[in-house]
Amino acid sequence: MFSRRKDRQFTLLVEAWSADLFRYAVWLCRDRSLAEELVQETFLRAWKGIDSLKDPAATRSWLITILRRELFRVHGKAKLAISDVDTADLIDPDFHQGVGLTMELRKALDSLPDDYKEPLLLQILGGFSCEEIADMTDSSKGAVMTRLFRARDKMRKFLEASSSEEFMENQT
Amino acid sequence: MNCLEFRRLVTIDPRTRDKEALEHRRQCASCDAMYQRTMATETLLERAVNVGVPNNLGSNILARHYAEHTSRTRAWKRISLNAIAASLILAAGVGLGMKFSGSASNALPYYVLQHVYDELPLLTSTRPMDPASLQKTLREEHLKISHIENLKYAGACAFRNGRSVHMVVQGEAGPVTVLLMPEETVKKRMTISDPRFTGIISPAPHGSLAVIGEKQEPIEKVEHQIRQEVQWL
Repeated sequence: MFSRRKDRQFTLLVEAWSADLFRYAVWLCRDRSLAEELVQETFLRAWKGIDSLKDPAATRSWLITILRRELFRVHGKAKLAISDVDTADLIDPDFHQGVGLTMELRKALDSLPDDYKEPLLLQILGGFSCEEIADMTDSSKGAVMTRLFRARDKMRKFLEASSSEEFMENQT
Repeated sequence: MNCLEFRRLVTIDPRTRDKEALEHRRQCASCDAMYQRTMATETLLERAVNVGVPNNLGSNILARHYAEHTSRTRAWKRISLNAIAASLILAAGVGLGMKFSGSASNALPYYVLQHVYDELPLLTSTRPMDPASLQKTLREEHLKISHIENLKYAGACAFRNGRSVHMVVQGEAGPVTVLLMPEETVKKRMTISDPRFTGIISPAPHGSLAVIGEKQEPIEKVEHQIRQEVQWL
């Protein structure tokens, strides 16, 4: 049964977190339609468990955990391994659209191995700590720190290379 | 904390609030410069990950949530009412030896609206249609469509005891559901209304046609378009 309090709590959850969840989902599955369906399913499942949510501070990580489970349930973790699939079938044609460096950065981010990309997205999009990311991804804190270090190092090197190319182009 | 530890920590988590790290940054100009460069990169990354979000994402989620719960509640009510009605009819039939027959056309608006709520995800579906599959569906239902502007979805659906062709077209106020129901006959035009949707059911050459859209939708305009572009063979 609907209760007004529960209904209001749910509406607030949707308003507060649907956009972040969508961005996270679209980065993981690289398909905007699928991402939207995943977010819809996440909130439908969240409604069923909303009474068990005791700590409001844990809401975001709780929603992310539901979304990850839903993604793995529907598509299987194997499908997330970029190297194993034909990415042309998965990538939304609009996904890489952007301007200049932003577009290049998106491509660089997208080319990161999932083990590196996911913690980085959780940190940048969600502002999660290493401990929280470790809990959500069933990893140790040490492993998450190593992956974040490597992911960020790769992005830094990519940006340095981009800057050098831009410099060279400007010189010629 | 030394420089190496600081740089490793900032590389892992540029927004760290670690007290020792903050203290080290205040004391070491070189590490502070590294921190500033890292934060500039962080801003670029934040911009890159912020992909666009679909319009009405939140309202679509709430609409689907509302619809699923409403339809479940209605389904339970329907089951309960049907059970009571069946018991009464059975009791009357057994007790008085009477035969019961009645037209269900008065309930058609209810079933149409129920169907719209049951298939609510179709309103926001962006999956491309397969033209060959669409033509096959239409042929099976003895229908032909020359061209429908803004057609977003079309497919065959089970409807009550028969079938219907379920289409979604983009209207002025949002997506509009069109049901071509060859097996549902109505004698006159009927209107449909609930807190969210408005619509009509009207007689068609074979069966009937339902058009349901958001409250502000000019339904007659969509109905006119459908009648122009659909041929009942």
